[in-house]
Amino acid sequence: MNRREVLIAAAALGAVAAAPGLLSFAHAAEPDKVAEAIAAVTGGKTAQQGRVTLTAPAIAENGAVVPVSVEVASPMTEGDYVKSITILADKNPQPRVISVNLTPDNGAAYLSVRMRLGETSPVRAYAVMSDGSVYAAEKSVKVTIGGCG
Amino acid sequence: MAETGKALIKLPAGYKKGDVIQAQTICIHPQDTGYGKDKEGKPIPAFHVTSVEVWYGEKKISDMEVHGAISKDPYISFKVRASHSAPLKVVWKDTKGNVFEQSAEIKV
Amino acid sequence: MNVKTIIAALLAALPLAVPAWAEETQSISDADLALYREGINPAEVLRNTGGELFNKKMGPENLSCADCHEGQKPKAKALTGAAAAYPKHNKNADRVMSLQLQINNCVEKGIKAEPYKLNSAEITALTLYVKGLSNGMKVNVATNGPAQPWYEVGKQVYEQRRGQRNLSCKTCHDELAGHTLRMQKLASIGAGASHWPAYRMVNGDTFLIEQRFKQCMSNARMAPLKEGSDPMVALELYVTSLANGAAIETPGFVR
Repeated sequence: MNRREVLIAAAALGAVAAAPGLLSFAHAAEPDKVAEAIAAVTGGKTAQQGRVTLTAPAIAENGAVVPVSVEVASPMTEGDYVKSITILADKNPQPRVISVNLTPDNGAAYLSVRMRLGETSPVRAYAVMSDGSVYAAEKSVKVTIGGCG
Repeated sequence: MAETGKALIKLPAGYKKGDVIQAQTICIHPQDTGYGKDKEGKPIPAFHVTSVEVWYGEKKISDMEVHGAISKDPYISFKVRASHSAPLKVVWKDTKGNVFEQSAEIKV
Repeated sequence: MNVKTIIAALLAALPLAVPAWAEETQSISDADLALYREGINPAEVLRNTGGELFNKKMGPENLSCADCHEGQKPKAKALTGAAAAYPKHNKNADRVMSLQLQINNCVEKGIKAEPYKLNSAEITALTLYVKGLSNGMKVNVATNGPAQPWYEVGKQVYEQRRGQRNLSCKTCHDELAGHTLRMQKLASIGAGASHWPAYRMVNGDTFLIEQRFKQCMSNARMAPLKEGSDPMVALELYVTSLANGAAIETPGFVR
């Protein structure tokens, strides 16, 4: 039995449950908090796939700093532009990360940030267009705990 | 001296009028989420940036709603069309009502 | 089966590193790592502060670092490229000095002001600024002449096993380099010193290389050496000499 198997066995026996402090789920958002945050962005509209490119690492060695960028295909003219980009993280205690309102003067619908992830979680990007349509993209980011300090 | 509110804006070199350029910004800030605890186990109150405004000359071209999930020392990058020569001013506001400002010149 | 046998059996079953399949699925890819290096390094803001401190008037004669090293009639050498040779032997002090010790030496002897604490943000900022004046140039620290005994001591500090886990720097960074420790590849030291001071994402702060050594020693359960102490400066000299020939690129941006 290796260390991993010992831990799995211990967990199965409920040994870990006696030490809830070891687990970091205490602050994870309720699922309806995520739904609420999504509804606040989309206004209840169904988000379409496409147009939004979400770039994030597949594995983030450090949940405190996760580089995430969002690009939305749009001509960014007065008649057709991206009004807002919102980033959400399902498993964070507060799923809302950032929302940016854009104007045609931005020239391109682009947002790049460094964000926190409390644990492995889907990261979502929503783009609301000037005609009211909503596009979305999603990517799961696995958060591992780093090694030696 | 981790000087909260010190900021930096970076623009690329060698752009011309009409180009869409990427602006990178950073503002030194602890970004305490309100969910953390100090060494004695006492909760650390929320202290983070709540909004960012982007002004290009006299015009506000972008604003942002920022939450504690943006990492310590918030790094935010966006694009802007370099249509005329004017300062690009970024204004950060936080949960304590602090206001921080930094500008960079767009020259075309 | 007695207790000793059980312990021996368990120890034998403990893998030295996470198995290969875990490395594939748990380690960050190079492409993902590149995402981290895009954008502004927060330490650049601290470097700007260092530039302000460099120009700050201090002491009884109201002098700044810039007054001596820059301007119309500089009294001392311009600092472009200077940091590449540090840690370096100082004849008057008859010892090897790290860049931060040299800066403090100037503040104390030249400006006649109170030197900075070696674990202060101020000394990190100034070191970062002065080191930045050598960015793009090659690390070139002397390991011979008066620096040689310091180099030898530094090598010994690097190789000496100590602490609760009986580890040395060499254990992890040479002998086990490339292996995985808790989902992370152990790096060979190589030219690593060329990008310090660096911003560490884990701590969300900027550190001098000696502070990084202290963190590493704590994790390895060794009594950390004091910043600026002889064995610590010797270690900095040895590790920096491993980067000789590599281009200086500060501030670094590391995990």
